[in-house]
Amino acid sequence: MDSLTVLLTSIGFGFVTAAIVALAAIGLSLQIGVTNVPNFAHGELITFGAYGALIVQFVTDNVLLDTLGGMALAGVTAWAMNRFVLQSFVKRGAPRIYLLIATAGLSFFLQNLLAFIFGERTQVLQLPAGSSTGYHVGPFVWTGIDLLIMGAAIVAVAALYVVLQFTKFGKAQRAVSNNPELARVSGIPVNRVINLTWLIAGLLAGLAGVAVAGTTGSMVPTIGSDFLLVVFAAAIVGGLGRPYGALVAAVIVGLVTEVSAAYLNSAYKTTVAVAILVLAILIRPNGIFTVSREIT
Amino acid sequence: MTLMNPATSLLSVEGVFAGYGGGDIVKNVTINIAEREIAVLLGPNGAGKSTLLKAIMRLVPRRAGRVEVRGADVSQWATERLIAHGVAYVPQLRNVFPALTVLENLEMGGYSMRSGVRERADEMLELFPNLRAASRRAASTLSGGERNLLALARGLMPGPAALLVDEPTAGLSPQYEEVVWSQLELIRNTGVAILVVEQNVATALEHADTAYVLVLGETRLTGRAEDLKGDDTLTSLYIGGEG
Amino acid sequence: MIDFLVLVLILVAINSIVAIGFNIQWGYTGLLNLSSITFVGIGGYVAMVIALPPPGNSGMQYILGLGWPFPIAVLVAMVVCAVLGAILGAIALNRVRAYYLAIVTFCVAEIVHQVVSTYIPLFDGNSGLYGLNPPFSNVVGLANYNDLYLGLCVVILAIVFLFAERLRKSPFGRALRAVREDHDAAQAFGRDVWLLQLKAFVIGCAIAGLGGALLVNFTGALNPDGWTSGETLLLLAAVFLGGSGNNWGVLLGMLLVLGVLQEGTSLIPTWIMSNEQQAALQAMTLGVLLIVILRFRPMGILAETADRDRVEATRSSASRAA
Repeated sequence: MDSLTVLLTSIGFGFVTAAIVALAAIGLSLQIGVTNVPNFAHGELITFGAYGALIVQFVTDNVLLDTLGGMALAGVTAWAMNRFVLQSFVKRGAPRIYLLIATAGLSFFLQNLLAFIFGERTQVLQLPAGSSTGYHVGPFVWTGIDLLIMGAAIVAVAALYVVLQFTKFGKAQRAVSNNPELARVSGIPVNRVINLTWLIAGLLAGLAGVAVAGTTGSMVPTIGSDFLLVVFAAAIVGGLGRPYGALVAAVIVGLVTEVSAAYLNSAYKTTVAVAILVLAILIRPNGIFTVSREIT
Repeated sequence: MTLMNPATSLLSVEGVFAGYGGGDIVKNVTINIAEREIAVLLGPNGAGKSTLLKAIMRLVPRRAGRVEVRGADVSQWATERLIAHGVAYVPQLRNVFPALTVLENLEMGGYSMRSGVRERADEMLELFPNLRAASRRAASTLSGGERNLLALARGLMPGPAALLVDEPTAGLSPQYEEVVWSQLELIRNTGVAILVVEQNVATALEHADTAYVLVLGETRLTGRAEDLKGDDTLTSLYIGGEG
Repeated sequence: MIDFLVLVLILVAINSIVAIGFNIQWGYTGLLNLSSITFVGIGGYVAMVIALPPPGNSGMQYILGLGWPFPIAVLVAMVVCAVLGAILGAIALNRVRAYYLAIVTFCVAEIVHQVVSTYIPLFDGNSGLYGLNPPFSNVVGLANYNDLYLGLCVVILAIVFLFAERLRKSPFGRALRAVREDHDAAQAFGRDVWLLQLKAFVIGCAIAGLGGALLVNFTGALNPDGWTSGETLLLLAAVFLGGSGNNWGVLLGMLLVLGVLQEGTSLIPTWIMSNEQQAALQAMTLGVLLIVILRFRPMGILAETADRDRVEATRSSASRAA
């Protein structure tokens, strides 16, 4: 391949990666903004999305139903994590570092729960017929599944945008993210908003999980946690609590990792993303502290 | 004037003790406010004025005492229920949602309203002309004074019977202080009972109906605002004497 | 059975050393270093490339290969870890708060893991290094070798333990606690908070390197699978279960978590569940255990003795937050 083709191909991959990272990072950013809880188990929500689709696939091969199944499993898991574990820490006023460690514990638990049930071996996700057919779109060549993934991501992001900007509930989410105390004395049911935000973050992560599994047609219990750092990178570069920033950052991170992979050893893909993350943390440490609450 | 007459008061606070972890910051405070009355809460720094407002809202634990609003004993009610019952609270700092537009801020203030949010927001912009021009701007772009007005308007959205305001004029220029106070008077004239924490004694006594002076968590002086003007006891309480 | 017990105790001893180093960072100073295991790995690798002969045609690729004796390898491992810890700490500790350090060290751990497992010329990438002869094995023979090594590890553990205890009771240790309890107040009293934290961080990293060196000298091999986030979680669970800030608690925690929970359950016969399921179950238990301790007894079984006011401080700040 000549160098231009290499570049264009990697940019094409980059957009697919960006779509997946965006889904997971937007959810993470929103959830951290609204709930003020860091979440190391976000990778497992991605994994649960993939395995949820696998479970539904035992019953039906319908892509839409499989995807919804994956999203539902991840969404419910996220909701339950908050409702049954994290909420009790918050209620007691536990230090945030305990919450961070607790989510690491949850991550370990959930990942190994899948390993216990399904084993660590690779599980095959049946892809719809014709999904590997290549389509020329402008200078890029994408497979059917690539187009599906990007389409789903665009629909999901647009839906989230509508919810956040135009619905009473979405505005309440932004309000809680901005200033939880004031939200409370404004009569906003903060707990309900937080619970539903976990659900939404889970749904988005679940969709990302189905998408990741869709790119290879397979999954292992670490499929999500392998993605966690890239997702964190995008969320932090975009500014925690700023889902739109996460979207932009996801596109950057997706493109940079895939393009660099075309020139470096592709095993360094994650390393490149993490390097971006470390740079971001060093350059703007506030990204982690949701000081950006003031800006969104 | 309800100073000594709990029977006619809209908001009454009786023998309230409150504080965070260790000891009580507010000790045995009693306050009665009627409809169409502005009561001002004065006192040196650390007197427990803000804590008292938060204690009324149950944002700070209350250890003893009784709170009544519109004749109902609300002592055990959670914050959310108090708000639904018509008590609004406007904090001193971080009192708006910076990322939301002015209109969205108002909408959030009326979150508990079942209908008529739009119309009520329009009324608020009517009442606060300074906000009208900025209604589609993010609250983070407002000046300090405009923010405080927006905070007031947000608190008024659900049409509360009682309004608790924490230092609405802190950090404002004298002109804007006047704007804020005249807004408070307008609000009072719509029938609301208002309890304001204030640092600027002279201005506060100018506009308020009654005053309560807190020192180290205890009520040391109460009276009609006009009677307290030029009262030496008040001055000495601020300076730290044992008036 | 005895042999198995000796094996488990060696692992407990070595991991306790690492945990004490972690405790100096987290328990004493409030610095949550999620790259602790990375320093164990680095210490292990450095000790190996110092002690191993040149790669020659072993089929492995690695730097150095000096073939120096065991004690020197251990010392070099500690020094390298201390230096790398100083660099990381100097950058990461520049900002306040444990939360920030936790995320940065977590990321650094992942990066180092990635680089070491991908970049083959350094430590042979994903396949790792092997073939290190156990130290002194030419002198004592291999028959009772584990007994001897257990003795050695226990002696080193005792030294590290005593060092940590002296540190805790020293003015330096009190200053660290002051920083942990109230960062701003310590600063206001003229303490150079950054330097204090950095020292504690470096000491912890050096001790982690010591643990790593002891580990590879025992196992004779190391690959990147040996130091994953799972190992970090085990360390966290042991320290939180036993009692942050209390070195006896750390020993107890490591004995319970590693000795009983991890190794003990490996005795479950395979007809009940496969090895894979067993490992998954252990990990699940570890995750749940960590959450339960944090939720119900964050100070651990043996709470820190020196100052009970810490618990009080946490309580009052908790009620203030609520």
